[in-house]
Amino acid sequence: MVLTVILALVAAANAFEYAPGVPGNPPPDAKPDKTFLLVAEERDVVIGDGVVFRAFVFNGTSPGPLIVVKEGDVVEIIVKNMGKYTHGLSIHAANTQTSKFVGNIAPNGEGRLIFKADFPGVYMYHCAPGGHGILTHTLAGMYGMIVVEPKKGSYILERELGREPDIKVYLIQHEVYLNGRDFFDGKPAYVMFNGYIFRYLEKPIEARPGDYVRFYFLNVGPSLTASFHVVGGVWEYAYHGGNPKNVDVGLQTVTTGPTDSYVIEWRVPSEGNFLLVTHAFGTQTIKGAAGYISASPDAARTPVVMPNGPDLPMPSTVKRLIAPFEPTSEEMKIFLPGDKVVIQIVGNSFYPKIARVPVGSQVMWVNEDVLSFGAGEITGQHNIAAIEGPVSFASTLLKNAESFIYKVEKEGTYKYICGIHPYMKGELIAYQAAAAAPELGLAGVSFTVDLTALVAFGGGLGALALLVFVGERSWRKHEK
Amino acid sequence: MRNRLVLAIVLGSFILSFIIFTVFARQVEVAESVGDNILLSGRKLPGFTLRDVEGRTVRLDDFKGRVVLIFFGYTNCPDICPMALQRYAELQKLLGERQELIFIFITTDPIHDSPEKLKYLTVKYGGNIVALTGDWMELATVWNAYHVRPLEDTGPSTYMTHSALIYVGDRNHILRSIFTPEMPAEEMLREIQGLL
Repeated sequence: MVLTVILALVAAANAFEYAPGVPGNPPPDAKPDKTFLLVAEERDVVIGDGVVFRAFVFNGTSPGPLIVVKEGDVVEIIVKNMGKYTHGLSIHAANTQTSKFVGNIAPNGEGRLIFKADFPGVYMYHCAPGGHGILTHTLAGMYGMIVVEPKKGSYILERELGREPDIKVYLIQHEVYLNGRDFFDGKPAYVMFNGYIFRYLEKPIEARPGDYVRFYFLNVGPSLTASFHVVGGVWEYAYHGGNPKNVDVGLQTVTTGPTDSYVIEWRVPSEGNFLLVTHAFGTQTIKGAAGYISASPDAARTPVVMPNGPDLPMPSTVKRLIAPFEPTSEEMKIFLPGDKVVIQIVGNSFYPKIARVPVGSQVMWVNEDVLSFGAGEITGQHNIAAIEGPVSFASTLLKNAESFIYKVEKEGTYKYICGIHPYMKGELIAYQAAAAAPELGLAGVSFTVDLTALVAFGGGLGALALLVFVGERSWRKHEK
Repeated sequence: MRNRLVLAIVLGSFILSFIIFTVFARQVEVAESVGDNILLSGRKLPGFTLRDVEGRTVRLDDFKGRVVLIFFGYTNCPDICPMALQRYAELQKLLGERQELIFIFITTDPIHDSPEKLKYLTVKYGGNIVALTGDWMELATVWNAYHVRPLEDTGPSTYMTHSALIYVGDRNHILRSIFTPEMPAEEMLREIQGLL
């Protein structure tokens, strides 16, 4: 793993300076109105029936916990890193310096941020160890929602009805990728609401006809644009970013780019099922982003739907383990003799993660990760360190577009990592090319055909025969 | 005459296949072979001449006949270096009185890692640690040989990129294994046992 670091040459003597009069900065000697603890760590979470995601998480789930504050609150966020790797926090509700206080927190370290929640709305927070790591830790599922509630009666329907919503639905749309290559290409394996594939199809949100529902819809991405719609409904009022001043009326969808959000006010028009979808069918809905609001006159309402992922026990049978930075059995590529073997280093993963290559192959690793400055989690520099297998080796550190070639001379399985990001794992399985040739078997006696040896033998025999032939001719000529 | 023709065809095909094979094999070999800049098991670890915390000159060869572990880091390192040094400490405990193992720590931050700071490592993580520093250029040669990026930036924030690997050399300082600081010390010891 590359490590890194910042050698602080900064004189700590000067107090931190905030620009006066700019909203968001903590007031001098501010006492927090609310304090929240976010614990960063690495953990496997269940995201579907038998589907497990090897994630980086806040407070044990992906997405992490909901944070709700009121407009004008002085908010304190404490981030504790209980994980093995450097983590951090970026919190979009804060209009003040955050990186300095919670931006890069070493294992067992702690950071503390104070800000004033001056802008009401629905915001994303996510891990931010710095640089390249911000992107890859978000890929790994480290994000959540913070809501800054505006003053009472700010939203139109609430004012018109003179009451709070019957149901509050905090809804995060997010993507899960199998590897860094798919992350680069924006091709998630799953897209879902609140941490579980088709979570509210399996367990619909219960409502009654006429219920006033308020959605806090946040698309954390990390990369796709959501188009949030309800089948059988028109959004009565929609507030871009969740700020009551940004009101739209009568929308079929709200369109949210990555980390964009809406507060939506809507009343359930009748009984029956109302399908909540992101209306991007082929790229998102079909991959898990749909759920029901199920309405009936005597329904036991679901008063609040929380956005954090479910905290479920591990299934007895894991049908699929999604580990963006590690090999899974599904992700193997077999290279045949003569194939050019190129393994990409992309989005903090090796691609393909498992490569079967013939002995004798020249294996080339190319670093596709672009951000090459900094160190540790901040950098997209990588190397290849084979730590288990017939041979151990370590390459130089590779910046973007740099490559490393290793000729595999011994059969066997090589397990390798990136020395800078040790959670990045790959496997190289070197096989004898002959083993790929057809096997001839006779009643328990079998042998393999080694094509190379056969050709060499044939060639040698030919040369020998030619010598004999020429020798014989010249001898005969001589005799004549 | 007919026999000769058959023989010639057979011979010709054998020779042709031999030539094709030879040419094909050459093409495969064209790609560059393993260069000198790779740290590879079975090869000798790159040598160095540096200084210990008392200012004495230390060469890798000084430890000939003893198994060496080599790690690069710096005393302000927040995460991986303490983890690696913790393994050094645990291994020393597991080994007890046995002194066959040399634990080398080479700084990547000679500016801030004073001899006093480096000395403190031996207090905190065990007396068998050999903490080494040197002049910038001396160190740069060693960093290069062991794939540690040189200084990236001389501004207020100076980044040091290094690979958090522990290189294991046998009594002849041939690279035998590469450990990561995440490996349990017991597992490391099992691998080292064969070399002691």
